[in-house]
Amino acid sequence: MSRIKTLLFVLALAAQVPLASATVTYAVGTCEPKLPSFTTIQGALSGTPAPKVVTICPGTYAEQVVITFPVTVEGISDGNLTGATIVAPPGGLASSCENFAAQVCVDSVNGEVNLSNLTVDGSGINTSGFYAGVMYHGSAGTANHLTIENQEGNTGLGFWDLQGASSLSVTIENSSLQNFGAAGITTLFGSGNGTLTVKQNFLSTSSQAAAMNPEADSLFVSDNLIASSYGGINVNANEGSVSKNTVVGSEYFGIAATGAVSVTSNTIYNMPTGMLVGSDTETVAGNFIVATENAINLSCIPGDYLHSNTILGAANGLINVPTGAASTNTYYNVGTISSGGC
Amino acid sequence: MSRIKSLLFVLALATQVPLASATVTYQVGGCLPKLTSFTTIMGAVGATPRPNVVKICPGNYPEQVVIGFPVTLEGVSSGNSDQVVITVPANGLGLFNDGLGDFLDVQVGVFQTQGEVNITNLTVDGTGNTVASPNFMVGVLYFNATGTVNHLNIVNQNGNGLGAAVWLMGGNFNPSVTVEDSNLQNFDNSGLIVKTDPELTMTIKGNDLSSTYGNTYGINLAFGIQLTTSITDNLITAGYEGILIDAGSGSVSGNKIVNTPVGIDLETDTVSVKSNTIYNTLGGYGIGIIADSSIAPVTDNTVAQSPIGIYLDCVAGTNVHSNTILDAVYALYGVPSGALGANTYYNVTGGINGGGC
Repeated sequence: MSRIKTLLFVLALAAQVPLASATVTYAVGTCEPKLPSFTTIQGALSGTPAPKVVTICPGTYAEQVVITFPVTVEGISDGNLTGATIVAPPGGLASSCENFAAQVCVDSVNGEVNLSNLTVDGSGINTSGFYAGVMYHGSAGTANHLTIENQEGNTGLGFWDLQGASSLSVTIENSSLQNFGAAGITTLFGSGNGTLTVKQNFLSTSSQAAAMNPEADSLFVSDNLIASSYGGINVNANEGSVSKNTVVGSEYFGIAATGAVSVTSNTIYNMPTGMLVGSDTETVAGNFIVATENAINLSCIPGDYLHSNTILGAANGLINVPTGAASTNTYYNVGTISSGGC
Repeated sequence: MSRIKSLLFVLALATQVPLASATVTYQVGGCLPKLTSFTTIMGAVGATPRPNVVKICPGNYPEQVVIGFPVTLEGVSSGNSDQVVITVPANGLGLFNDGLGDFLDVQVGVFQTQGEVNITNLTVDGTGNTVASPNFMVGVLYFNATGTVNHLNIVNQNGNGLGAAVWLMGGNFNPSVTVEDSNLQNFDNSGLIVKTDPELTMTIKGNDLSSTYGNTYGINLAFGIQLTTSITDNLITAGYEGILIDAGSGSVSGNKIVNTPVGIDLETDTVSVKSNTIYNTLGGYGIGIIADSSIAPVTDNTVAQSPIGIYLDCVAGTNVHSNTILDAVYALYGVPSGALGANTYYNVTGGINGGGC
């Protein structure tokens, strides 16, 4: 290698050093002695320089977490434990997230905020306004492997994507949402300009709550398992899909969709109404609807959006069918296949 | 065509006539006027010549159905209805002794049949039965018979704590039974129960099972020395245990089990438990999977929201691996001192390994 080439190689190596050292990682708790350590999550987030990654040791953290810059916040393992639990502070939650309260608030961040392996427990929160376990407000990122639970009362929300005016993308996946009072995953009061992806989550509640009621410009809801709720999946979007979800034992309905959303290959089991159609721009096909009173309510909306569904064990297959509508589905053990009333 | 060829062609046609006419199809209920009609299912099943197919029109049929020869029984649509309902007759149900100490009152029984008995698109409703303990109330029984149960709605076999939607037994015909795409609901003992000493091969796939009764099993492999089983892609909700595996060899995979105190209870070395999803076992014991075997593979399952993810019962070890446990107090419990398999854990608050042996 010539001297010049050698010099260039050394310079190139040197140029990479600042890039590597730019990853600032802090620890919360004492399980990572090689990292700068903080006693609270908010303390680590406020550290200088601002961290790229905050790793949280197992334990219970009674605090409200507000995130305003791109960062990854993750619970880690220590010995026989894994994950960290965030509970409400003794003084309650401040309404500091677009005038709403959230236990973990990701607020107006330019860049991605990723959360993983955390439990956010809302036990004991007493507030009259809407509040959330985790809120993304005007921000993008991924929430993965979270447990969000006990946001109870009729204003409690598990995961709240309060979208702003810009087209941001938020994903919640592989998470467990339990005992929410108003909704498990929602975009309540959001402008609906972003993309929301909801996949492979588990949801259930004993409250009269919607498991999911998101609205978004683009919405993708897939492979979720909803065990019990008042309403399962209630969506409205300009584009997107609701596919391969399993909804069981809702008090009212399994899936309700409005807008240009395809609803395909879902399994809906054991509830009064399987599916509520809200517009003629949907495709509703390939769903398996079992043990319902009314399998699909067409809401008197004409169109050829409905076909190739299998309905097993229903008092009524299709209800509120507009005059002249033709729909090819497969029926087994259905008392009345189709009825009008429009 | 030569004369000889023409003659052979005519002979070939003639030989096909008896084959075609051998398919005897009857109807029950009057909705298919081109077929010979009966008012009861047993009337059609007992007719001469024996039917190959019995098509049943929508309506209620309060009768016990007993089948002992190969036949297809299918509900059909008529007008705006597609609901054939077999209900309990006013004079009750006849009794069957399974030879293993159980007495069964059966709504639809398939007995000792070589050749297939296929049943599709029927509701079997046990409402109003007066079966008293110690007798079991059974919706559909296959005893030493082969066939497929498809798109059935078997409901309300309950009343004395011994209600089962489906009961399977083997026999010297080495039968094979498939139960698929059916709804089994509101049983008060088991959705599907297997008790067999002789040989039986069974496939249970794509069914939905649920019960509001607490002390129930979704699928109960209670006894089976020569039982070969494949249990896939079923959805089981509520009850006590989703799938109890006390016997057999084969696989349990791709099932979703929700809201049961115990998801899967594996008590044998010869059944693998793979790629199942178990959610929300709160209440009762709260265990995703009981793995009471050091041999049977327990892999690639996802257990979410369960106080105990997998109970190793001081027995299981490296055979339990590649599972994902999310949101548990203890991920593994009853952990023996030996080597363990590698699993993935999230949000485990009490301990990844708990409960000494």
